[in-house]
Amino acid sequence: MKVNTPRARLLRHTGIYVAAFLTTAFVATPILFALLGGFKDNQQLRENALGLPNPWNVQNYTDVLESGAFWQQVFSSIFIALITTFIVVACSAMIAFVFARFAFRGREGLFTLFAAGMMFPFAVAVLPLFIILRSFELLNSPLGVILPQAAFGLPLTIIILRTFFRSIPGEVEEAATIDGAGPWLFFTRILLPMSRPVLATTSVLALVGSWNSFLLPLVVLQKSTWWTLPLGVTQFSGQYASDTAKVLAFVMLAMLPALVFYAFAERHLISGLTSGGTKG
Amino acid sequence: MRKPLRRLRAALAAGAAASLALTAAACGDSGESDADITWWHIQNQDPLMSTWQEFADDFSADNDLTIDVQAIENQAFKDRMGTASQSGDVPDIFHTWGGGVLAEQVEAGLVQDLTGKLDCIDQINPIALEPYTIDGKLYGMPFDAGVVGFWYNMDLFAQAGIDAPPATWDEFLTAVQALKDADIAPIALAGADKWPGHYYWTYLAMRTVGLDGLEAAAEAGDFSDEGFIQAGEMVAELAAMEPFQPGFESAVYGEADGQSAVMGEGLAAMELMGQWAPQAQRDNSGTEGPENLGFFPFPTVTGGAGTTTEWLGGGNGYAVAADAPDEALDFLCNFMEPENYSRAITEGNLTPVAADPASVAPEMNEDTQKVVDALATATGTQLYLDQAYPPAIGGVINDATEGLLLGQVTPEDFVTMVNDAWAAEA
Amino acid sequence: MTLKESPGASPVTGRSDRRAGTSPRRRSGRPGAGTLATFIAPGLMLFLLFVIVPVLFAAYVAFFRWNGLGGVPTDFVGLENFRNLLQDEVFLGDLWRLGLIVVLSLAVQLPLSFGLAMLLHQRFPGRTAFRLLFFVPYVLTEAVTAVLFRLVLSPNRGFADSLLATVGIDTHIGWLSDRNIVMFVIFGILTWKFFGFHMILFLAGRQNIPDELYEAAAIDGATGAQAFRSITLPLMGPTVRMIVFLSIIGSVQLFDLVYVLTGGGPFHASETLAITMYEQGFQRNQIGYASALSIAMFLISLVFALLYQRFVLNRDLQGSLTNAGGNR
Repeated sequence: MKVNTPRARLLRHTGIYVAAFLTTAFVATPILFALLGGFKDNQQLRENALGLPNPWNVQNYTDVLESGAFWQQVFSSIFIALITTFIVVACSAMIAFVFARFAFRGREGLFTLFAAGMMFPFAVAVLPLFIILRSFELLNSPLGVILPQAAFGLPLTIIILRTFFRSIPGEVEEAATIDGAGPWLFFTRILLPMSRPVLATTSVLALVGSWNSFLLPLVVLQKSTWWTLPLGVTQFSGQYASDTAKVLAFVMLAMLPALVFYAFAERHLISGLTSGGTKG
Repeated sequence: MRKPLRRLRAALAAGAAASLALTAAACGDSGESDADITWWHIQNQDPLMSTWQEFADDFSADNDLTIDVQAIENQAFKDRMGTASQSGDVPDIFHTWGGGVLAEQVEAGLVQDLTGKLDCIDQINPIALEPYTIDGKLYGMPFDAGVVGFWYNMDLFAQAGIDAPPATWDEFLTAVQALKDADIAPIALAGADKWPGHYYWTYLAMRTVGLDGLEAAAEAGDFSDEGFIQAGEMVAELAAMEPFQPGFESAVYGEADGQSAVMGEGLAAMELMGQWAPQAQRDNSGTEGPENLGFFPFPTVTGGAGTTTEWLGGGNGYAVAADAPDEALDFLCNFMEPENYSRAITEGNLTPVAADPASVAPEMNEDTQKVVDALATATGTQLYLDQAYPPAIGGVINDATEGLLLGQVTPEDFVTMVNDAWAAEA
Repeated sequence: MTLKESPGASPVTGRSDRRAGTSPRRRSGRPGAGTLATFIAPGLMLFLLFVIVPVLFAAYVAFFRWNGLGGVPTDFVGLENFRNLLQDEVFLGDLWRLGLIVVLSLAVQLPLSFGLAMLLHQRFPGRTAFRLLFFVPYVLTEAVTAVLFRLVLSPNRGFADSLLATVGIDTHIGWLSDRNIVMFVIFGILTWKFFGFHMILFLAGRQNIPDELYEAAAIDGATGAQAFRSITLPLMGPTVRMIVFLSIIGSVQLFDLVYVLTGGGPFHASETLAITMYEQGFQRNQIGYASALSIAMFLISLVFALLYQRFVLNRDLQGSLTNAGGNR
């Protein structure tokens, strides 16, 4: 199908590498700027914006790492993401199980209701959500972020899980039923353990969604006690607006957890995104 | 709607209870802050940021409580106060400029009436209390008061061959042109923040229709007077000369490339700003600021009703939440302790509000002295319009001035926008 | 566009389920209604309270003038908020800018990602590393990205300006301050952030095409270009249509990145629907008006999704999209 002489391959590879390296430069330059900028001081940033730091100055990074606020925000972000993920996946798995394995009146209607939830842009709901959370005294509380996030995560998670649950052969369930297992036992002892990969995938999706969430924490968390990293970064960049190097260090450190997570969970992340994105 | 809402609340309660049960094991915390007092202020730059933190630390140590101190950048603070007011839960102590914004917070029941509750109140000049007094009751304690005027770099003015600060608008435009001809950016402006821009329109309106005219217009909610259109035209005329530093459209006041840093580094010749400007120039630029910094009042407009002794101005103060503990009041008065207050004035170059300034600040910084002198000889003052009017209207004025400065709003549109905003508020 | 909000084509699956519903597993033991309710209740409760009720509530408040400071809305104004919306130049500008972003995404961003996906589908040393790297921007939080780019594009001696100076371009470009270019700069950042995501989706779609098809085509004497036209493009159709859908729905609710980067300025030149809603609702206390705007956003998404589903996605119903892609 393609001319495969060595010369042609060389030419093709050269083209590919040129494109790939150009894209790499496009992607990496801003991140390198943050990484190296954090090691400069403001004078260096001004006079030597492009070069390597000289001397290397670790104080911006150590300042951030020594501040309680940074760690508090990392903790909040992780805490809120974990609880959100747990609620989303637990609730979705139960619902998806019922949708996938039982026929009952109203099932399709109910499913359509959930599926339609994917059509509601989150921004549409944020204003009324705010008022509802207010009347309910959930503002400035992590639950005020967790519960709405979890609710908005349900549709996609249910759809992915339902597809998987349906693919498990009926014989497995029949065998379990013969052994006397009720639906609850079958669900917890057999179905969930069998579904580990897809549970991991949906968990990663929920985790990342919560980690990146900005608008909801912005309106719910006015007091800094439970601020998440995205809020922390914007606040920090305002507070230290004249100290660019320090802000760059903070930005870099705020990126780091996501990058580390990506390095380890890349497979789940990408399979989650492709299944969520292409299948819907 | 009352009943459905209550039902909604009950349903919500049930739902959250269910969800709470799910997370009960992992999430025992109610999310309430442990701090006894939360305090939001906008002194997010040293030296005052550290001074304020020390005040809080000392006070909390002496009184066995904790203070959660948040130093928030000005614009971010306004955004967050807006949301916090909506949430019905404001910090125990928060920054305020008084005026219509404070009035709306008072109306929503968020702010504590301080009348007769502050022991230190007689140490403060009664005039400084005015912006915080609503229907005869006091809702805030000022710690600083001053005026807005042109801070200018005298060396750059000399370079452009300008001998004396301009006294009239025409002279002002001539000076701007002279600076441009000398390749100097005449004016530093934080376009993205909007509030620095609104000083221009306000001052021009004060000079055309005068303070009485402005007051009457606000009373009637009608800004159709010819003088307001003229003010808009003059803003547009100034903007058409492109007098601002490059990139001003996205600049904010206090960042590395922002308005005050540009002034501090001597990259622009002047800025129209309040009493805090010289200190902010040093803080934001990380320099010592312009070597020779001068101050002149906003010029007069020929044929206009205003004079140079009528100032746009205001101060900085703190308000207390309706449900704040009594210690919050003690903390406010802690500021007015002579030792603390004179320290704040010396370190932060605040313009004192003390009834007897000499007692707390025997030797004032010369920049501060200029503001104090202006205030002492003022024949009238007007609070910043974006604070004096309710937020919806102040927001429109800020927004519309930005439009004027960027040539996106005509002076006539401007007046229509402001009038519509008043009509909607009524 | 962002993961948390990425809505799929729910009607698609909704419809396909009806089909699936005819091959049920009724033989399974029939648990009582109580058992089913136990499984469904927690999630359903959460969903009703925090998704359905807010949207209904917004639809209700949209008919009132209300500053939101306590109490309940009482000042009924009928359709006034919606009428004002249609005369609001900022709102109309938001729509125009939405259109601009959508057109640019379809014309520039997606073809770029598609091309890169095709490149990275080829075997060459280092391919995995490039794939991993190109995806990195998507992993970063939008708000953090915005803070970073604000510093990169800082007006005086910013990093971008210094970079351009080294290649001999010494102009002061008002990246974020020039009303005429700010949207294009934002589009550039959006591309930076999202092309890797789209590329990965395209790559997954491409990998679903069996190699045998190309081998057969090669035997029939088809050139590479012919194979691309008659195999790759048609079989990638479902993936393309889905990415277009995600990209457009994401554009409708664009907020985080632009809000932190420019706040919508200068003078609304980069404002989005969500930013206008946020400012009206939370900064100016015009909850009724902001609710009307929310509802408008909702209707835009809904109408678009329905139309798209009706006219574009329909033909994928029986296609690979809904059935393929078991969880790898």
